[in-house]
Amino acid sequence: MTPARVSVRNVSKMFPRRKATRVRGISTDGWPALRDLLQKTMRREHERHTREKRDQLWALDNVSFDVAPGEIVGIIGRNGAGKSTLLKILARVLSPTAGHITMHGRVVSMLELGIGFAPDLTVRQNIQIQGRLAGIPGKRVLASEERILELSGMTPFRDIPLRLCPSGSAVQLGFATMMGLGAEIVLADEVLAVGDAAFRKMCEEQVEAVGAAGVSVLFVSHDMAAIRRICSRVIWIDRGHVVQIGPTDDVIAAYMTELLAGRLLAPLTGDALAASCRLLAARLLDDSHAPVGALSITNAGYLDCLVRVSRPDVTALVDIELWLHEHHLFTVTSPPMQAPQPTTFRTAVHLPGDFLNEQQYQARFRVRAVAHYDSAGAPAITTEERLDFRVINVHREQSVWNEWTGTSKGFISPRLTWRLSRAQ
Amino acid sequence: MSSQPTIVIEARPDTIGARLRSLWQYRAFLGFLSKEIVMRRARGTLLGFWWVLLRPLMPVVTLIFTFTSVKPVETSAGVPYSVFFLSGYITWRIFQSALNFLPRTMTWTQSIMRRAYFPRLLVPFAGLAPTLIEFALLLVAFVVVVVSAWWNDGQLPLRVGWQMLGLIPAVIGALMFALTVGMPTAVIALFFRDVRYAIRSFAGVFMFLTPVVYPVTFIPEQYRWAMYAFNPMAAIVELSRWALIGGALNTGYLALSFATNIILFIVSVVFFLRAEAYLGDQL
Repeated sequence: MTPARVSVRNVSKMFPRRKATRVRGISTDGWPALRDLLQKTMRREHERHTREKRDQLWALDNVSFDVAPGEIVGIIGRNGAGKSTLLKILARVLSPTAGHITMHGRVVSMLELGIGFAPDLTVRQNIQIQGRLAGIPGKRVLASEERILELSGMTPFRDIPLRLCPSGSAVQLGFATMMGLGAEIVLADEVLAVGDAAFRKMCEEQVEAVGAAGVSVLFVSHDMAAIRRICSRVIWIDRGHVVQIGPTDDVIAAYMTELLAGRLLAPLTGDALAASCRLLAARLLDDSHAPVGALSITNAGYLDCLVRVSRPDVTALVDIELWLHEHHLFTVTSPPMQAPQPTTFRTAVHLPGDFLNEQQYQARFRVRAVAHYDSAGAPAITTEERLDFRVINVHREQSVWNEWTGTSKGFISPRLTWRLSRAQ
Repeated sequence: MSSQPTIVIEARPDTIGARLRSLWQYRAFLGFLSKEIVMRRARGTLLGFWWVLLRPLMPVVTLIFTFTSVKPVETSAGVPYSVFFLSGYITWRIFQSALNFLPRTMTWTQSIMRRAYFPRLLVPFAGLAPTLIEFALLLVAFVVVVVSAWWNDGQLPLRVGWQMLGLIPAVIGALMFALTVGMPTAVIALFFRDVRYAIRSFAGVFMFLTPVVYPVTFIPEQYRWAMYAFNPMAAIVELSRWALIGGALNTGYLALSFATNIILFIVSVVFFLRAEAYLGDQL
């Protein structure tokens, strides 16, 4: 068995969770972070972090795996699962909170593709800079320059400032540099997310070629098709944990099943949950569905609203409260709204004619977002929308109160049936 | 496999020794970073690189004009004020200019630091590059002033001799003290940008607490020790002036100043190396 090129053992990464604070116009956001840094710096021994989960975000929790030489490993998982954190730790941009990693060979990383190129410098100078960033000596970079230019298809532009090159050049150059520098370990974060089809095809071929040449590639992507084409093994990470490591097709199948079931989305609480359902509009419609500002007392109308539900694991309910001055008259609740795709729902409640009185009413629309997996949890209430509307009496003779003059009394004025008979 | 470097990443931060070794491994990076930092200021400006030359000359002209024409200052050595002033100012400016640049270099190189590993200590060292360019320029300005004074008065206002080598420890001392103050400042500037503005104003005020625009004899004898004890720059500026135009030099105070400087410098470097491991989260 060949020894592992990269071996990751029990790696964890914790980020303290911090709230933005502001005291009398002075932003104190930096204080906790600075205090944290100073405390760690002054400490003589590197202490083990307490596993108190409160106010801590474990971006990676006890992650272990090996990568063999020449192996192309895909890392998948939903946004925020910890994929990029893992690559950043491997690239030594972040340091792990616990665990250790051994890597044999030079590491080239492309963490933010295309960023860090100097637009005023020529293509060749940029290749030099990228090589230096990868820790590769200048001579070696010069030696691989031709190959990089050829890979990126930028040989004719070699001495032209990058800003004058065709758009997308930075991305192509970045990828070509990463592949062409001749390192033993390549870390690539979402490189295939950009560029045209031809470029992506070239990228995939290159990754396969360097893999065949014995370079280990760790490759983060959301593009399952690309992963399926080029990776021999896949690591699926969710919420900092390794869920599954194994042959590409098996892991992707399991991941897709979970993803489609909507169970993979992060548990939503508070603001994030509230943000998943939004009230786009609240209107009063008359009985012919035209928006109006007032209803005639005898005519029916609708309280109509548009609700955007942007996550499949959340159900939205609209509560409409009807208020008259300080009095809460009643509440009606809409049917539940839920969809696998982000969807805008329209829902309306029918207000019958001869029901409300000649008054100034206020309808308060409120969207309640309920997370599926946590039915016991408190629903998040999005900001409410208030709609003031009048009910007026345009056909006084048709009104139930037609013998009355002036505004009638009472919160509502329903047309109720009377029975009249002679008492025995 | 054995020819390939092996990288070990541990949760425990590297020892200071290991960090200094990696500093040496990455020494080639210093040139690249210095160039980035120098050119960073030139990008997108009309005058481009000429700003590096213009900036230090403006205060020189203002200060020389003020203390010769507006409020003349008597220099004891009998040399023209412009020569007297520049003989101390060229060293002082190293400190002031470095404090101007160092807190900003960390934010300038942030995008590089986010993407690649290299010893972060290279950043403050590379941040001294524009300062050294300014120093070279001020040295030229000094020569010009000396020659013009020679032309006017017929005598060279300079003491030529071995003691001129004293300028070298003066420059090194100024660079060290600038790093001593600048490195922790650069770290804190990542959290609070206020530090950048504060340190610039501080350096401006600090100049008048240092015998730069006036001779040290302006300060009453009984208070001078306080200035030397709490302000390592005072002895450094005096050394620079002594090296160029001669005059008295108190070696006791000079030794005290350099001792404080070296101790503070080591403390500052160790602080930076220790903080380095945790900077990643902040970038």
